[in-house]
Amino acid sequence: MLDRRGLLISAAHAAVLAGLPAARAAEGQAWEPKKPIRVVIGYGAGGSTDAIGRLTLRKVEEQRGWKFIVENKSGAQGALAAIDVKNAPADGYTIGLLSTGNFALDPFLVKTAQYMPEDIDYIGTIAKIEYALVAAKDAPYNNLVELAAHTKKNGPVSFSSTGKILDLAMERVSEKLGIAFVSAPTSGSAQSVQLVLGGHANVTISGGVHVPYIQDGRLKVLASMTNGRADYAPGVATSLEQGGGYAIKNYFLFVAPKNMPADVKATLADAIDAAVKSPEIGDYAAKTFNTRINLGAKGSADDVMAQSREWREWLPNAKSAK
Amino acid sequence: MDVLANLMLGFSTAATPENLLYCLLGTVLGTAVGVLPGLGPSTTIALLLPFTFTLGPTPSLIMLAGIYYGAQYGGSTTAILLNLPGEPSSAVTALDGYQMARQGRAGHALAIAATSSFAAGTLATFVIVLFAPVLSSVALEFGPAEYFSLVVLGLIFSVALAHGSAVRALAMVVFGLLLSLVGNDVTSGEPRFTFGRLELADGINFVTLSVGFFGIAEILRNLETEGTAGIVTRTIGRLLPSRADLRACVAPIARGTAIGSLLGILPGGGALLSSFASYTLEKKLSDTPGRFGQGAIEGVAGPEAANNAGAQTSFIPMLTLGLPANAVMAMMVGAMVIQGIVPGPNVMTERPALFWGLIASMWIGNLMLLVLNLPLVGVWARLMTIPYTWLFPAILTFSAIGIYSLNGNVFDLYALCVSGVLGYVLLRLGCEPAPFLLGFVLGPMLEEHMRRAMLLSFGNPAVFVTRPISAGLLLLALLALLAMAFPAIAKKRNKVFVE
Amino acid sequence: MTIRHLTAGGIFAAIALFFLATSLLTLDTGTTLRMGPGFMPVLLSVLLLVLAIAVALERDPEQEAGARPVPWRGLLFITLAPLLFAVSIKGLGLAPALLVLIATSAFASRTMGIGQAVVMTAVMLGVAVGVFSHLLGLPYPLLGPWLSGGAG
Repeated sequence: MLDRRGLLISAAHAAVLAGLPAARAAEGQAWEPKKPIRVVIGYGAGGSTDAIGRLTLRKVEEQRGWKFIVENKSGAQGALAAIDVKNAPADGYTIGLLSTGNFALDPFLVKTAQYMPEDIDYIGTIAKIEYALVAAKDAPYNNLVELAAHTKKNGPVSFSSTGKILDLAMERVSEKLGIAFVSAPTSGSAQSVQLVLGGHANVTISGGVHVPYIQDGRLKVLASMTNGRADYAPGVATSLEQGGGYAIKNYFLFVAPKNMPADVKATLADAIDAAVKSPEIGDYAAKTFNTRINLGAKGSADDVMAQSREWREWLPNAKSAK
Repeated sequence: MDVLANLMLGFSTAATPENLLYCLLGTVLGTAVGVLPGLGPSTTIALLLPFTFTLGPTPSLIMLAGIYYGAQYGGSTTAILLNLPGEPSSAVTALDGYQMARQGRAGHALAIAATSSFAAGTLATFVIVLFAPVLSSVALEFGPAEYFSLVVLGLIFSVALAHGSAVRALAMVVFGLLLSLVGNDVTSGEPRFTFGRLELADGINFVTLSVGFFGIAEILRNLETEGTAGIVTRTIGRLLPSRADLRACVAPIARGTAIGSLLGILPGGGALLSSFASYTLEKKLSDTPGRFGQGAIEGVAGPEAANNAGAQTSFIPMLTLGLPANAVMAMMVGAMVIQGIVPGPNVMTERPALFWGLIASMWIGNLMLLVLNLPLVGVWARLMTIPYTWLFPAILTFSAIGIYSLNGNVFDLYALCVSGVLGYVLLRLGCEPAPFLLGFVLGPMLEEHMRRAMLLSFGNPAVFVTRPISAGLLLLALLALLAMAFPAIAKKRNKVFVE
Repeated sequence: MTIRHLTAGGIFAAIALFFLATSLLTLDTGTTLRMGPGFMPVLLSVLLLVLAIAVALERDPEQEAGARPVPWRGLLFITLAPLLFAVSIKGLGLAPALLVLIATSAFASRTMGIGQAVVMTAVMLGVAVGVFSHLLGLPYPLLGPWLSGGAG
């Protein structure tokens, strides 16, 4: 069975045998993949997760001589990929790339969840997604308090929403500050921003695509929705500073089937960590206005569990949750 | 002159030997892949995306664009020769193109498809050069209400795709709309009509339905008359269209280009509607609308021109708003992002060489397609001389494997069998597949924009008639419906008088 | 009103009723502001039901002339071929699955003799394996785990 793929695989093996084992042996790691690793990305090819994910995987291929086969499995906002990973054999040859919200929040928003955050092993993160609440430049409010006052006088504002976690984040902040809004889900952040630019929606929470419009003066930031101010709008306070009481924490997150052998998990986590630390990933994250950070295997798992507990406490109060 | 400077910059970028090579590579690869049903440009670009990492941004985008329109051209070839449309736009080409091929005019159909694509590509390049900055702001005017009304208009238009009764065509449209709802609701995430099957979560695949309703149903129809004299005489005929043919196509090409350029600017589906709209328009304007669906050359020329023009202008919302018109362009956005170029309003000013180089390369790519494909027309047309007993197993094989490769999922193959049989039964009952497919393609847009419009207007349905563009589109749809009802009445009255 | 119209109308009505029942039973219709996942399906299936009645009652002057025979043999084998391909691709691998697919579809034609079928299957198998496995490098093993001793 000597097809092209076979050749590629043996080429990858040759590279491993030729150059790399010396360094690896020094680290004392036993596991080494013997065939290509399948990576299920929960979003479409060309999306932001796909782009940064493929870059990271390419870095691992360079650094370790491994081979990845990437499969984009978008659908049900990542749930299909999550289910795929959950049901795959825990041998290290299947991993997934999604975001924190897919595990910490999404299972609790559907009638019958097909996976739970406990059903998954977490390997590490690539970056934290930096969100901001933005509005058109000429909107009659400049921050959350003014927005609340505006909606009290004039009725609700419309909010174009890219994802469930953003929807619920807006709801939490609004509850605190008395903002009235109606949320309309969109197919992606580019579309959410376009609706605000065209005057069809009043505000949106966006994780990067809005920045050029801030710079050319068509949009303005009302609040940074994560726990730090945005580099491109340092004068605008965060939602926490403005009394919104909530900051979004969402990461590009590598996951794997539960109960992998310890050495396999450690090797995968190390490989991803080394790639995330490379200057290329740092540059790329900076270019897309996200913060490169790897929480590591334990850190990612703790983060998902903490966020999931926190969401479960809050959800019964939510208006939009079912 | 600004315009001239832009064009010069574009051509000097696109005409470097390196970029020309990648453009050629892209168009050739695209054509080859487009010819295989199911294995559409999305699969190809996904396979090639890692490869473009190593190229610079301009050559990699030029190559991806080449694959994209090469594949569209290749898709038309399969639609014309085998009645196997791999994409919504080629479903329109199949209507008259395949009939022409059955009549031994495959060469004409292929040549006119290439010629009108090229002509439209040339014209659309100038449209972009002249109006690009204005065009990107037009797209912003289109909100959910406008999109909803545009889709309604498109659906009403699609009745013209069938040549039987309007009522049956409308029923097929609504059936298509209903089927498009299968899968997880994009708004709430709730599964609909999936009955717990994970494979249905993303909905039914367009290619599966299209190959079933067009390809398999057609095989079965051909097997009806097998062994008797009924099977079509499969000859090649004259390869190139006559002067009269070309002359008949000039106006449809011009109108198709205008429609395509306009609709292409609208992100997320504008280009999709253009070939349908052009077909409807040509049928309405024709003195002999009865020829449409029976091998009318205008029915190939107009939609092909519209489709190609739309494909070109849809690069504007992709580059300036980051809103891709389809899956392929979504991947191009991905390729740009990987290269560190974030699509946005500044791409045109910050990266003029990339922007205008891409535009110019589209024209060059179209020229290459024409030069490559005209000599190939003879080869392709010879495919029609293969005995049908050999041809249909090949169609079935390539369809099955193409559909399996979409998701690596056997469920899609079961769906293929069901849709093939259902398509054949409906076809026997005089219900044609084209309006059904358009309904299926536009269904998600219709629902998504309706729900979004209602949310953004805080539940006030008046939004559809108080916004001027939306109101205008709905009025047009109403007029089209009336026009459909009245000729029928007029015809009946004539009949009475004749008797 | 003819049998043809009644059949067509009946098919559309059945489809409409299926979607209507399923959406009323499993989906939330919501309000006009917050349309639920069931809103559009209910709206469309009612519309299709109305159209189904119109189709059944339609008086269509251009009746298709002469009933064409139903290609029962074709229907059977054309449907069977992709089904057999579907059940064999994962286990047997690409090459055997293609063999089954091509050979089965060859039977759909009444005019194809055994000898011709064998030649055609062989030729087509070669072309398909060449194009898909070697040229395009589709990631499916030529021989599946059932045949290669489970090594995958």
